[in-house]
Amino acid sequence: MNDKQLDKVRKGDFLLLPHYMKWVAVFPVLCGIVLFFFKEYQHFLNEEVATGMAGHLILLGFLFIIISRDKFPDERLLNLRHKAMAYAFMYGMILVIVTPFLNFLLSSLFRSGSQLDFMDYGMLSIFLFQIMYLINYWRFKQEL
Amino acid sequence: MKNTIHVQRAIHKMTQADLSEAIGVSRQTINSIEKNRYVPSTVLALKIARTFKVSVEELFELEEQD
Repeated sequence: MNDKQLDKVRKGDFLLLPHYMKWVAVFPVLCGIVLFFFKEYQHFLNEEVATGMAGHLILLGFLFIIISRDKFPDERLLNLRHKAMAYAFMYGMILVIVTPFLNFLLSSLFRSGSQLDFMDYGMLSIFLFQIMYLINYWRFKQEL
Repeated sequence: MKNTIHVQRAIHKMTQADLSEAIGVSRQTINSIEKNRYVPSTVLALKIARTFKVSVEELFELEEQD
């Protein structure tokens, strides 16, 4: 690594995309949501592939939102970003541990509609991890 | 940790926006520092001190619980 790369790692803003990517990322999220809710009305993909693709589009969009820089990035926001990441990681770990129990509980609660089959639990865990990160980051920005 | 940034700003007739522009951070960061919600890095503390032409010790002071 050269000095410039080391400096980026030290400041913690490596691997972040430009700010405008936050707005670009809204597009796959919206496409994913539209595809998920209107999958019955399209004839290009079968329903199973459409739901999987919708889930992946939403996850991809959220990932871009998460790893995009803020409008005015500074050390406080990077600090908060790391804190939110740590919180989301802890919640994510807990979620992975309780998933077998959650699976049993949810399947017995929603058996009739089977609405929760739209994502496998791996995708659901990642989705919740992303949501937890975004909520925590937003909360920290308001409070700290 | 206590700080006297708002006092120094008043002396130098600077707004939070002016100070944030001078040291290259957001106005919210200055607000958080003044309200003791965020402790700045050494680099940022030195930049603020240099802007007001005072020492870091004059700006920041440790409290009993620190």
